[in-house]
Amino acid sequence: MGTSLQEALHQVLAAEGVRTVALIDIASGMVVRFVGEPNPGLATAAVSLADEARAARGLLGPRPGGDLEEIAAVTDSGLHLSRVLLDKPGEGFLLFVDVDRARANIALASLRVGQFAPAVLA
Amino acid sequence: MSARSWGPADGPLGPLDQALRDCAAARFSGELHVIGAPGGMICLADGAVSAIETPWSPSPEVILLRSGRVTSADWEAAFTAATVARGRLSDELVTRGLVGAGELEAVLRTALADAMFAFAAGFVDTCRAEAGTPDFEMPLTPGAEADGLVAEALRRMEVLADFPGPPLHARARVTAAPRAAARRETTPDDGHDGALALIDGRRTIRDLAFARGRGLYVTTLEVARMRGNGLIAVPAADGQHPGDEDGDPQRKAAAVGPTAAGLPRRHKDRPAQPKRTGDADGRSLPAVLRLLRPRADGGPQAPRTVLTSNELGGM
Amino acid sequence: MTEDALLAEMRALQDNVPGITGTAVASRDGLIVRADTGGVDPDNLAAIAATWLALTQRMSREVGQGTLREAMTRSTGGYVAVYAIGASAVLVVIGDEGLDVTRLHRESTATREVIEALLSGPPVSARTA
Repeated sequence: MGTSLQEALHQVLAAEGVRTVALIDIASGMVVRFVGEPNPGLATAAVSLADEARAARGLLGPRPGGDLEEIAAVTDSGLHLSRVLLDKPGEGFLLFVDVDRARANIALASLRVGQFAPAVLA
Repeated sequence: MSARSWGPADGPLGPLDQALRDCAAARFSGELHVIGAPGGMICLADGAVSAIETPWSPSPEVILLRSGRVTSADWEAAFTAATVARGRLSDELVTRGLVGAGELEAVLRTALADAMFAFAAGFVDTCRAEAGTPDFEMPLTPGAEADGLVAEALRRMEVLADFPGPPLHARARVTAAPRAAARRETTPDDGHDGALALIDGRRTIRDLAFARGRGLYVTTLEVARMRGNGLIAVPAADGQHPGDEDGDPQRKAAAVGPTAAGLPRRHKDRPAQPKRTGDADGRSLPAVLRLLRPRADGGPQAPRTVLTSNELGGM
Repeated sequence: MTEDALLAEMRALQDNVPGITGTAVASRDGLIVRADTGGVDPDNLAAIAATWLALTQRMSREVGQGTLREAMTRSTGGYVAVYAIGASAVLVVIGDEGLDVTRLHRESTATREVIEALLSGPPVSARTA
């Protein structure tokens, strides 16, 4: 039986086509925790995604509708979805999901991630 | 392995790297004392890291309180309740809904990584392990793999090394450049998430981290970016402070990172000589300085001599 | 100037102990001699510190514990410590939550000696190591 965080990440991992799930600290670019297939590019991707999240926030600025919600990247073999979680303390986290494009589409994956995201830090 | 020491060694973490590996292999439980600058203590359970204390990196408590995530009143209540019930503070915080379980674990993990980074950024001289079951306020359970924390610490050192300019030392004082004042006026959020407002020429990078309740690493990143934007100045490794108007010789600040030969620098917190002083707190020196001398008869203290700065001129 | 040497010694303590955010030297009757505290009001600080030192020394004697070494408060936002400097002055040290308390114990002894010499004798140069 794992911790609450671990189990929440596993819930996301259980979705169709999800290969890797990771929690990324935006301020430092650190992979806080990951579950699923070991992904050698994850650490590098995490830093880039964190930088992107910060840059996007800087561009968007504080908006009435809200702040940055999600970053989606399409690669030849997969989808990378990063959902922004929580503002305090620090700059928040990204819930990163690597999805096999052959087994799930971007809409479905995004929906699934959105369903389970609130439980990750709860 | 009940007690063991590791002597000085090369590398950003010195002997700590090997010590952690040996402790992991032995599934060591107890305290690993880190002697250096910063020093500190690593709490290990079954070879994994459950807590780290070091004066250069804010603890999870500081992070949660200073960021305003948990109010100090709520914290004290949780702390008292946990102590009385002989339970864990972390459990109490979650039960009371003050912080999420997943969130707390994330805070604990990032704090551990930051503390390990602090050791890498400073200088580790020796390590000493003492077996036992140490009692820490908010241990990460189960603990984090030490090699993951070490790898993350080294990654962070490399990121900082990529920034242009001399290395940033955690205990170097940060001063706002003239540009910063203009920036503060025109940009409501100073673009650096409030960091600029705390820079007063006294606080070091480490002090800023504590004042904001953010990690030493992310604060150093912020300082590096602000320096790149010309908003702040930090004394360079050779102790010369750019923009020092009256030309006072400055204390040398030790550099971090390996020397050109790849050896770790011998870092000393202690300055080579005390800084020659200007005015300490931005006000003019008082015209009168009271000196108290103990009375010969040991009676109650009273000012014996009041000297003006003129009279003191020869001192 | 003795005042300069005082400040140099106070600064040296701050540089040697991570977490110190300010220091001050006050007279036993609550007047500020030298302050290096950033935003904290030195006059209030001096008055409180002198009173507090006297009280805690009295407490030490009352319970038969000999000479007071240090009185320290710990709050959610940091620490404040006072030390007697000889019989005539008080050293105040303010620190944040990460104050290296052990190191402060060690380093404050030498600082107190130097400051005592500065305040009570002919001018001496601040310690250089």
